[in-house]
Amino acid sequence: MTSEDRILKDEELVSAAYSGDKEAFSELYTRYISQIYRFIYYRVTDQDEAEDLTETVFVKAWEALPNIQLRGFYFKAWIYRIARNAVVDRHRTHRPSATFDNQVTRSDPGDSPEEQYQNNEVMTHLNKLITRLEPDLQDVILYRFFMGFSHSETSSIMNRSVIYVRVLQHRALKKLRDLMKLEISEHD
Amino acid sequence: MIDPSADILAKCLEAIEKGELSVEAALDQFSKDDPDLRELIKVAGVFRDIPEVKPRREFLVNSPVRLMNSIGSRKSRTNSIYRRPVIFSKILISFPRRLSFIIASLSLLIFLALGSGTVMAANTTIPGDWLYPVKLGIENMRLAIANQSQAVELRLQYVSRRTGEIKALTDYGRYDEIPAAAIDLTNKVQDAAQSLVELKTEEPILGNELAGEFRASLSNNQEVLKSLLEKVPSPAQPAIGHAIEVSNHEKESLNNTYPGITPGEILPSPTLPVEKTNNGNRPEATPSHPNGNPSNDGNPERPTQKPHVKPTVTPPGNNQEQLPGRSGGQPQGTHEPDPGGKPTDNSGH
Repeated sequence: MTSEDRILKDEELVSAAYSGDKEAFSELYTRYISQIYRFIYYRVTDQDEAEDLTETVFVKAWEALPNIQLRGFYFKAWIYRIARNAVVDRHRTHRPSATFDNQVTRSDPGDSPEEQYQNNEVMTHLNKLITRLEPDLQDVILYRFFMGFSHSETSSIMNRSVIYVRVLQHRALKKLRDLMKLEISEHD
Repeated sequence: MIDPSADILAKCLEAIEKGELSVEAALDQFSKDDPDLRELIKVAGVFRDIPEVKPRREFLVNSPVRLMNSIGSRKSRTNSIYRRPVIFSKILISFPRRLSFIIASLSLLIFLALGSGTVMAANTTIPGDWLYPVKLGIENMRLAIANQSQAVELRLQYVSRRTGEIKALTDYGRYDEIPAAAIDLTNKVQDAAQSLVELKTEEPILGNELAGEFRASLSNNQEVLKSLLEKVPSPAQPAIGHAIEVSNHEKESLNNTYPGITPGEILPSPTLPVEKTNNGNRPEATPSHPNGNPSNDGNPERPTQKPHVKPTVTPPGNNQEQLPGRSGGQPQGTHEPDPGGKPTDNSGH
């Protein structure tokens, strides 16, 4: 394998993009577009808005790149923070104090209608409950369970310690459990 | 100090996520004597049922091009240190330079393999036809090689073309294809409007003129779509309704961007294309107006001399499609919209 075959690390691409290299940035874009889209989609639950916001996030990232400190820079955490801020801004301008607020969900088009219905039911139900959590708890649920990030990755993205993330996770799951129990007792 | 329960829960979940333990094993190992923890592990397990969300393929294909257009302004401060690894040359990465090369290569291959007749036939296809992707590929190729103003003009054409296709689908009773086609139309309308906004900084006069034409064309297309609303079954109606709504919105936005031309200053142009049949049996797809009336054929108000002379680019081997003839020349081929010509009358169908 020659040096040219090597897949460049994010840090190398960031360094090149920092210098104005659009191709390097486009490579970062290719790596993260699906993840960022998914992250945003779970927050806005609207395909068109998620697409618009995803593009906005990368445009903002490109514009902000010249101002970063390259030493110790972690692109993944940084791009997610931009995405999170974009979603918060969107909620501020469109639907104040709402996250996980739209109950419309979308499944994998490959699923059968029954599976899609069930998936949507699960998503709708979970969204309803998660909306009732504090923003920090919503974040930790999103990063850990919707996006599948480890505690360490979640801590980087949230700019908190791993210990704090673990505590938040514990608190979030407890609250969710209590909400589920409450709902069950109300149904009974 | 961390709550021990939080720490145990985290370790347990990590073990499950890494595949080191099954949920049942984790429940046994970590929460034997702790019913609270047991419940929390179960709650966390609920998220495993969440469907994975993937972006639309269309979005993945088109958004890099839009992004590269959006971020084009920042100048490199140093020589680029990035050299795309060879491995990336082997996969499809949809950015303009690469995209144009790939599309051009694919189209050339298609052209050579199937002959020009296939490409010409592809130009007359509608969604659901097996050659339709070729038609879209050719459109993308043309966009990739066009300069900014040419690209805008092409996008305007494609809006009318998509409308024509929806009309054709309705005529053939292929209603299942209509929602996707209407969504595509909506995207094309937005792309065209966005490209007009971007053109304003580079070529405001031409942009102004094209914006006027686009507004008129949108009005025309909206009439067609409204007439289709009554014909299509209810599942297809929302997408068409949305397309009409978006067209309205973009028209209003353009009024703000290009206030110099008032709507109606340029009368509707016969921009809707005709989707022809491969075998001559298929009815022609689109009138320029739902009533089949010619729009402004011979209208003296319609500018005949364009302020900007634009070169016309014809890719080799594709004489069916011309970039819009802003230089005064007429588009060649029969399927392209003719900015100054007569609309095709399909009243016979």
